Amino acid sequence: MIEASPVIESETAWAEARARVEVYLQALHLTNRAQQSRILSLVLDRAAARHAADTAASPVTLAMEELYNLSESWFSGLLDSQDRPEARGIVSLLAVDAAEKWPSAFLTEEVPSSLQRSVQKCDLRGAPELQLSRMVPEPFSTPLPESTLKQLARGFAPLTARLFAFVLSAASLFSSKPPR
Amino acid sequence: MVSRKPVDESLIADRRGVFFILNAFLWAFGAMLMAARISGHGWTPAAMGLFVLFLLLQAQIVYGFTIAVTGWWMLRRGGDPFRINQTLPADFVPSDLPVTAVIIPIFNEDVGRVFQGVRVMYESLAATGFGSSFDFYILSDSSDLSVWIEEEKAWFELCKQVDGFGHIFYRKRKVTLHHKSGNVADFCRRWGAKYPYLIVLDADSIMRGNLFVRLVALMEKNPIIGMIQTYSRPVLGQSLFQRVNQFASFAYGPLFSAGANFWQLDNASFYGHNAIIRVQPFMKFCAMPELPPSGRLGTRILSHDTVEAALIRRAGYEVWCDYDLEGSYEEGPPHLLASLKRDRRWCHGNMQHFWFLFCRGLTLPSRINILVGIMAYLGSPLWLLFLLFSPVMFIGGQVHARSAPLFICAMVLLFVPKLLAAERLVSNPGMLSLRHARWKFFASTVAEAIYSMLLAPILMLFYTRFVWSSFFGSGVGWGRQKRADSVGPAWSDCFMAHWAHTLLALVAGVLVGWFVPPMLPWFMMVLAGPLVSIPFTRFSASNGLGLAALRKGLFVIPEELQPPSELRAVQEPFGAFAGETLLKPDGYGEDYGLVQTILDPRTNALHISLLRERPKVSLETHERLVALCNLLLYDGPGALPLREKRMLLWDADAMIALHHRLWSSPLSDYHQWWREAFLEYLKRAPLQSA
Repeated sequence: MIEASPVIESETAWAEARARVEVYLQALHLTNRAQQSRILSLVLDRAAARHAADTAASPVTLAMEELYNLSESWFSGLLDSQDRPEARGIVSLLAVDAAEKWPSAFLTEEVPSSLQRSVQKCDLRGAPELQLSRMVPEPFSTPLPESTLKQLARGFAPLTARLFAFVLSAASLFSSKPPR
Repeated sequence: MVSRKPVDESLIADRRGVFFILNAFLWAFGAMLMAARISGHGWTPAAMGLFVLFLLLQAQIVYGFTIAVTGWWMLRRGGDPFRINQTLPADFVPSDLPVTAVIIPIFNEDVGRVFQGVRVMYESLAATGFGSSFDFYILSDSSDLSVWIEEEKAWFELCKQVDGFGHIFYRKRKVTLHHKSGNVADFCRRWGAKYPYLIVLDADSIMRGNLFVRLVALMEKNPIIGMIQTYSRPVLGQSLFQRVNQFASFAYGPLFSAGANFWQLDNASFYGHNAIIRVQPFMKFCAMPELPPSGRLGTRILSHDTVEAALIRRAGYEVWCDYDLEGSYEEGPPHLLASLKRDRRWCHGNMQHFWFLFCRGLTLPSRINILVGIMAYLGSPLWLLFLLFSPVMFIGGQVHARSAPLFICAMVLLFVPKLLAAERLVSNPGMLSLRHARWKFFASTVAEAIYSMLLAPILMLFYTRFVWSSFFGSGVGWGRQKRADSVGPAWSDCFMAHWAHTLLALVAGVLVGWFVPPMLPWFMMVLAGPLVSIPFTRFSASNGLGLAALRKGLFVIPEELQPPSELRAVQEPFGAFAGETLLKPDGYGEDYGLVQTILDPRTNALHISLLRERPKVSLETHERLVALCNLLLYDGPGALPLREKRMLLWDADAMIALHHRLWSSPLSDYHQWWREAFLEYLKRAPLQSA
């Protein structure tokens, strides 16, 4: 069995890391080639620097971690919020069609002000602010005495059975009678 | 509550007096004929039992007949002068409207259809110029995880396409207590205080924009009104079953609605959808109480609508049915078996309403509405008893000539409403403007009457079983409602559903033919339906037959001849999420939603951003979630039951962690299932560049 050399293994791992970042960007509709190259180079450079210090770490892990770190801090700035910035940021970019309107903006240091305004104007809440109030049922009440109610319950529940029994017994009574 | 009543109390009393005196007269007349018939035979215990059954059933038939006749008379006069719609001029355009909530409770529905419907209504409203006066809420109780995720994506896509962010909302309920009524109550508790009115729709409802506006204007004009129910017409049917039903609704619906309005006026019923509700009294008076414990009927009300109408009426608010407003639609179930599934639940709910016959403070008309609802199902076992019982009386005897008046009376009560409907269809100027041959309307009415004769005894047998199981059987669940089915039920399903009916009809036919031969022709009218029930259900589910009837001009409704733009638009497909879906559902089964949420960054981000903030979880819960994440990644989704997958999907931190871990690790780290899913995802990722 021929074992792959460490160099080839490493190249394969970096190729996988590169492909992973590329697909991730494409999934976010960030398909502009120039933008992709810039971000890939930024992410992979930072990952390579970390890899030099920790050779046991997988390039895929390092690259994706760098991408997450960069995007989280970029989205925090864009949204001016620390509340799940990455998720909300991605949704905001999709909502305002950022990939089409600001094709090179993602992960740039200078966020275009028009993009920032557009994102902050967009109300992406699934539901508005709560305005809580009460809706409490009144207990079921009836003018009938409780005992009568219980009797009714007992009587109504097997109503069908009783009707069947009544009709069948009446029918048997009738069948014993000679026809006129 | 200060308001002028739209109609005087004296007029209401007069109308109700006339209506119920007419009922009583016809009922007494039928009872007299029956008594005369029995007298010729002898008042045996069996005869007395038969007479009691007859009185109950006669009341039900007479009620339907009287409603149809008064409705026909009202329409013949050009419409009831006391319609709630008359309180505003026909061309009234409000200068301003308060913001109204439009709520759509959904449960595992066809996601594309629901959101396409919302799009159509939103755009129709925008065209009226009052779009900003309505907020749409899609209130999901979906238990299917994949449906949940599709709903989120569809909500986002819809908001993006129609610029509806901030006006179209999506809320998924974590604890789906008390089904639909609980879903609506949950909305009221959270956001009800923001709105004076809410319009409640079903998943398959469509309402035109100007109808939304009109309903709010009517509520503004009449502060004493608590609810206005519109008459929603079934449309867009393809199968023969749907097309006959929608034709029947078109032909008879106006008669029955106008007739019901004649006596109900300010005390109409509520059907639970396509209606507007005044929120404040609804919240104060219409929360569903627990019922007294009574065995299998249960204590939680399944059918809430009639009860809500009765409760809001008890509080002094009026309930009207605005039957003459156009533009309110719904879709019907595609075939008989799907329809029966819904009936099963309604039957149980209506049996529970029994308690409200004795509820303190309800008005008499509310109690009558409740009783009519109960009898809609309880009438079936009574009919069955009557039919089983009547031939027994004649064993060894003869069928008397005295039966003829009774028979004629029954035929008049049953078929005159159909004749009146046919007369209206062929003579009404509105119908003539549709340029559809009159004879086709008439032929459709005749064909529908034959169809109903076959269907009615089949329904009687099913409803009898439903009533029985409400009291003695297992509980009723809240299943997914089937609203479309291009294939229809298999022959085997039809056989399993109907074999007992066919056998019963065969045996009954042989027994009646053997012991009381003169009664056999009369009985065949009842036995024919169950005898052919298997092919009846199969063929009536056929889209081919439904469309063939349409081509021949049978069972045609105006919406098919001149479809409103909203109905055309709702049939168009709903666009996919942001252009494409990276994973195909095949091969993932019930885990399709989960795998998308974990793998796809957009779906993951959207899902997380829609989850509400949650207080910090306990250490125990945190450890449990971590363990579940590990199990999911290392052993695959098959290792987790649905409940635990749902638990993960509800936790934003878990979903973030799963997404990050999967994307940040070499594929070899996780279960084979994830490796294959991830590879497919990578393979399908779009490689185009701008």
